[in-house]
Amino acid sequence: MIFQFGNILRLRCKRFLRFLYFLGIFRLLVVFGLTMLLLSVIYVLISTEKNVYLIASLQLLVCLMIHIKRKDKNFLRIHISPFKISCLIEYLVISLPLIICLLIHGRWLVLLYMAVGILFIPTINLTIRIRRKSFNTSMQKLIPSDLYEWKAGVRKNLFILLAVYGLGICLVCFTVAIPVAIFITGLVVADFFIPGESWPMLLSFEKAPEKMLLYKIRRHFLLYAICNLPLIVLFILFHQDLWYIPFIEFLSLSSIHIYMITVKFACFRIDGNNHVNYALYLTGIFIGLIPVTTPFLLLISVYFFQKACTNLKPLLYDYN
Amino acid sequence: MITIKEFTVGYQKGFNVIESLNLTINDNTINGIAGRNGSGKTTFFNAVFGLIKKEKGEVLLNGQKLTKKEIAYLPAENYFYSFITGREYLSLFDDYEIDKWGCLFKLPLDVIVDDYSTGMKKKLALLSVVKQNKQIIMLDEPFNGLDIESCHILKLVLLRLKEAGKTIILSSHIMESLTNICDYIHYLESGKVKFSRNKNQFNELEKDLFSMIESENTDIIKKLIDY
Repeated sequence: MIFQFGNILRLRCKRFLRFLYFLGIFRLLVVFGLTMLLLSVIYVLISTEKNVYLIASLQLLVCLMIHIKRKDKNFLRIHISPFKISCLIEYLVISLPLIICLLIHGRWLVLLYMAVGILFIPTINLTIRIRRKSFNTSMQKLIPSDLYEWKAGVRKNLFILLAVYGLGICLVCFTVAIPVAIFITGLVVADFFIPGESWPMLLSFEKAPEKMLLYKIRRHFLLYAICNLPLIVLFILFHQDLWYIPFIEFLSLSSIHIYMITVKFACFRIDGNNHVNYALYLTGIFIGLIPVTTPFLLLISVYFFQKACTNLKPLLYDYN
Repeated sequence: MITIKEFTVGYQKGFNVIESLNLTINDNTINGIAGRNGSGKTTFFNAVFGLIKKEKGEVLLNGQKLTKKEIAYLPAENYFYSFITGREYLSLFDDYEIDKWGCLFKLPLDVIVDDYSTGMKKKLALLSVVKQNKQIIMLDEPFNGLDIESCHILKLVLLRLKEAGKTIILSSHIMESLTNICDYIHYLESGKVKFSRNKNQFNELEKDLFSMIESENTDIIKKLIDY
């Protein structure tokens, strides 16, 4: 058993070192700095009685999530015996910084709480499997097939979209109802552009990069405008003096969507599953939500549009 | 006719996976690409299709540069979009007779692709390629992950496509899959076509290949097992 575990441990160390190597010196320094910052914050926080249990519980929750979500359970069960002890050692290693902090502060009771928790986690035999349902409402049929982001997004967020949209309409007499509905649905729609497509899906357009991107933006803008039109009309009917609010919102959110589309294709890779860069996504949302900086977001989108065209050129050059 | 001349592809400078490959592929034929793991089959497909930049050489279709417009390509690994159904995926390429195609391969078209098994995903990708109605069809390992019934249906589909005037290039690790349907088999080794054989020479090809493998490896296997 010790031999087997030693091999696994060696593999884990190699993977960790490889990860550090691929990070590069600059990112490594940033990660190191952030880790140190986080550890110092934890060190300060556990000095008060109020926070110490919360932090210990959070640490246990992290270990629990790792245990539930880890994909190597079967591999370890087959090759390592006993499997639970190897898990226990791993969770102890993960919790080591916190344990050291607790030892320094002399929090013996919390240490005992942590020990019990870490001992208990490997015994849990639970795997979360979310069964996705195929929502095939007539709404999907109304969406054109080339707007697959909308088809998938509406299916994924159907209930939240319907609830927010419905509440917005029902509570139209309240000034904030419709702007809030436009805001939430706009953010949900922005989320449609996070998953990326495979290259055969892009080829199905049979268009050059510029034309394909403009086509996608135009089609999205049109559908988004159609969806928002009832909300905007209702708001103007009930609150004529504030007519400009939904328009500003609509334009801000549309800018975010255009930014998302261009960023997605600027980061597109042929060889795999594509997802938009979350850092760029969040930056875009923050810039787009401040009305003063919205034009700036459109300028960045122009830059990403150029970048996306260059990025897609090797794939779509035949359609020029 | 597809003419591939002096085709060279590499990922790193000084190391070419495909080296000055020359090959002629006749119209209305099914051509198998065989070879060991790492012999450059997938690279060959990716480069002919234009997913990888070639170092030198050219690929011509009847004397004109071959473009993606004329090719439907099934890569070895397939990625799909989350939360869309098989029907929605296929309708991106062509709306015509989706249900009948789905029935043929027994695909639940109204289920989201994320819930498909590996084999189902392969079938969906195959259907999308067939439905593109392109002159040249390139299939990298199309039989991988398919059940016996689907393998046979695919063979029938490919033979019918050939009759309809399409040119098909496919690769497989299973020699039998190739000898059953191909008109020509081209054997790749170290990024070059080592030899090409037509239908009449397939028996010979299998014998030659297996005797080559046996002569290269029997002693090694004996030593390893006896140790």
